[in-house]
Formats: sequence, structure tokens, C-alpha cells
Amino acid sequence: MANLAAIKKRIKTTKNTQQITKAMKMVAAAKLRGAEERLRAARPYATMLDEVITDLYNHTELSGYELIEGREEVKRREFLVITSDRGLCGGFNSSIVRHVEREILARAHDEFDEQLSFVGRKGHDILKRRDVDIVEKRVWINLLKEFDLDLAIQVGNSLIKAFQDGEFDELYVISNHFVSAISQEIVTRRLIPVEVPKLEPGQVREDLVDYVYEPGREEILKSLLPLQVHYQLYRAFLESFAAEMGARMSAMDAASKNAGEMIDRLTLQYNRSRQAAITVELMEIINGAEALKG
Amino acid sequence: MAENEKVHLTLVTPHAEVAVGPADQVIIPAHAGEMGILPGHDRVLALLNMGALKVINGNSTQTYFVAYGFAEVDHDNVRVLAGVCEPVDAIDIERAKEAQLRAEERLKNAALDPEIDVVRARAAIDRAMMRQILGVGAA
Repeated sequence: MANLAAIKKRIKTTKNTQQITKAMKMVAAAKLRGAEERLRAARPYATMLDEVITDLYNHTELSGYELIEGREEVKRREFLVITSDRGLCGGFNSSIVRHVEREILARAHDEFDEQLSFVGRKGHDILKRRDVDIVEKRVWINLLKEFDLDLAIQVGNSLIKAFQDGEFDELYVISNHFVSAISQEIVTRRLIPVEVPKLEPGQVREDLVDYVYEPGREEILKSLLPLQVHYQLYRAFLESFAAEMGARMSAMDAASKNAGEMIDRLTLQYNRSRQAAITVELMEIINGAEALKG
Repeated sequence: MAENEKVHLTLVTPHAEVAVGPADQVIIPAHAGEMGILPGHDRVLALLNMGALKVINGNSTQTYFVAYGFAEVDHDNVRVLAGVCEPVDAIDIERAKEAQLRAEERLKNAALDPEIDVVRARAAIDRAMMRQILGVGAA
């Protein structure tokens, strides 16, 4: 017969766990709401910046600007992988690591020299354990706990500097994008050189005259292009953060449900055992009474 | 200029859409000085200076503190992308003063602590002072 006290104890621990997972779910939900709001608020700026840069790129001679034109010979490519610092968020980190293994590690050193950088502890730790044959350049840990545009500017500037110093010729960001609270999408985007949508020939407005630049074109491009790098990075941080919160929320929701089921099962088992114990005791009493009669 | 001609202003920051709508005139704190934009303006791409952006509609003028960004003008459309933007009547002068003191403190300690970014501290002081000037003007 199952030990009643032991079952009771298990029910209690499961309830405690459920309380924690429920709390985590609520926290993630609240943070997700905030992150979604920030994403939405950031959209008009992003659209406008994209438009201005697309305009500039398609209507103006931009040769001589590595940050948008790129380098003639691309040898070294860096991939910045954005993951979370903390676990308990379902497949959020493992799916991105799997993606990196499949898309990058599997064909590393074929055509280019690849190297990796990380924002977030988890991706870095998982790949480190697998002992991969690839250069690791930069790791930022606990960056996304609380971040703002300023932080993206700092990271962006250090990456631009690394580009100018020749540490890599192209930089891609691999991150989770927020689709909905229950789904994320892994997106790879080129950050450096700045990615510009090419217009179809029909879309190029031939009548467009060049801007009057104030101060000069040089100064404007020098600040505009880094701005796009900073901003894309900020967006990637926002997207990844929102996706992480979504993933954690659904993981914790599932965990709470599982805990609930377990509690139900254990309670049933507990009641059955208790009933069995009562039945046995009753039988003993009846048997004893019968024996005395006889 | 016809009576009903307006410029269409879009003023955004990475954190919000601050102002969208028509205006008689927009005055931008451009790099080399203030630039007044009326309808039908030439195409311009200008870096912003830290300063006051004014939106004039009839007799009323709404002033914003802006910094770190640029403005694109295309005929009747004015698009301003600012890193920082705040309506001057919403500026909290006490907070701006505190920010200035904090930044000055940072700058004082910069010689001892290599972690302190002198350029950023200076920029913070400028920003805080400009906000105070504009905020006091609005009050």
C-alpha cells in the first residue's frame, strides 16, 4: 500500500511548483505586454528610417561608403546570435541553437571564414558545451534584462568599430522574432553592411532630384548609416525580448497545466489509498468480531 | 502661397510617434541654424542640432525639444526622426537640473574612473541645460 504521508508530501511539492510556474507565467505575460507596446511604438520610426535610406540608396551615388556598399571581397562573416540569459522558456533557445548548427556550423569554412558572437548567456553556453570548431568573438551577458536604445547604440558602435578594424566583412544577426505569444520565428538579417531593399526599375523615381544636404552629404551619411545599425539592433533586441517572454509564458502555462494534472492524479491516488486503508481496518474489526462470536 | 497650403509634419522617435499633422510652418533646428519650412520646400536632408523644433499653426506655436536625429523635407512633407523629443511644456525642470548635476558629477570623476564616458557626460550636460532653457521659456 502506497504510503499516505509520502503521497501527501508529493502533492504539496507539486502545488508549490505550480505556484512558481503560475507566477512566472504572470510575470512573463506582463513583460510581454510591455514589450509588444514598445515594438508597436518603434514601428513608425523604423519605417521612416528605412524609407529615407532606401531613397538615398536608390537615387544617390553612394560609392565609398563601406557601411552600405559593402566590401568587394567578403572573406569573414560574423553571426550575432541573440538568445536569452535565463531558461524555462520552452524551445526558445534550443531552436535557435539548432538553426545555428544546421545553417552555419554544418557549412562553416566552406566558402567564408565564420565567427560567432552572442547576446545572451544561453546560446553561448549550449554551443560551448558542444565544443564547436568556430571562432567566438564577443559575448554579452545579461544585456537584455533591462535595455534601451542607448544600450543598442553602445553595442552597435562596438560592432561598427570591429567592422572598420577589419574583424569581419559582413555581420548577420540571428534572432527570434515575435509572431504571437505562442509562436516565434527565427530570422537572419544582415546588419553590416546596412541592408537596403533594392527597388524594381519601375519603382525608381527618375524625376527625383538629389537632396540639399545640410551640413554636407558626407556628414549626414556618416551619422545616418550608424543610426540604421543602432536601430536595427534595437529592433532585434525588442523582437527577441518579446519572443522570449511569449515563449516563457506559454512554457509556464503548459507547466502549470501539467502540475495541475499531476495534483489531480496524486489526489485520486491518495483518496484511494486512504479508502483502502479504511477498508482493511474495517475488515479486521469485522473478522475479529466474527471470531469472538464463533 | 495659397491659404490652405500646409506642410505635413511627421515627428517620430524610436519610442513613439510624437506628432503627425498639418502645419503652416515648421522650424527645424538644423545643423547650421534654424531652418523654416514652408509648403513647397526643396528636398532637404538635414542633421538636427539639439534645440527647439517649432510647429506653427495660425497663431499658435507648439515647441518641442529635439536632439540626435535628422529631418527629411520633400516638397510639402516634413519628416523628423529624433532620438530624443519632448514637448517643452512637458519638461520637468527639476529633473533636468538633477540630470545636469549628475552628469557634472560624472565628468568630475572622469579622471579617476576610466569607465566614465566623457563625451556622453558632456552630451548629457548639454541636453539637460537645453531642456532647462526651453522648459523655463515655456513655463
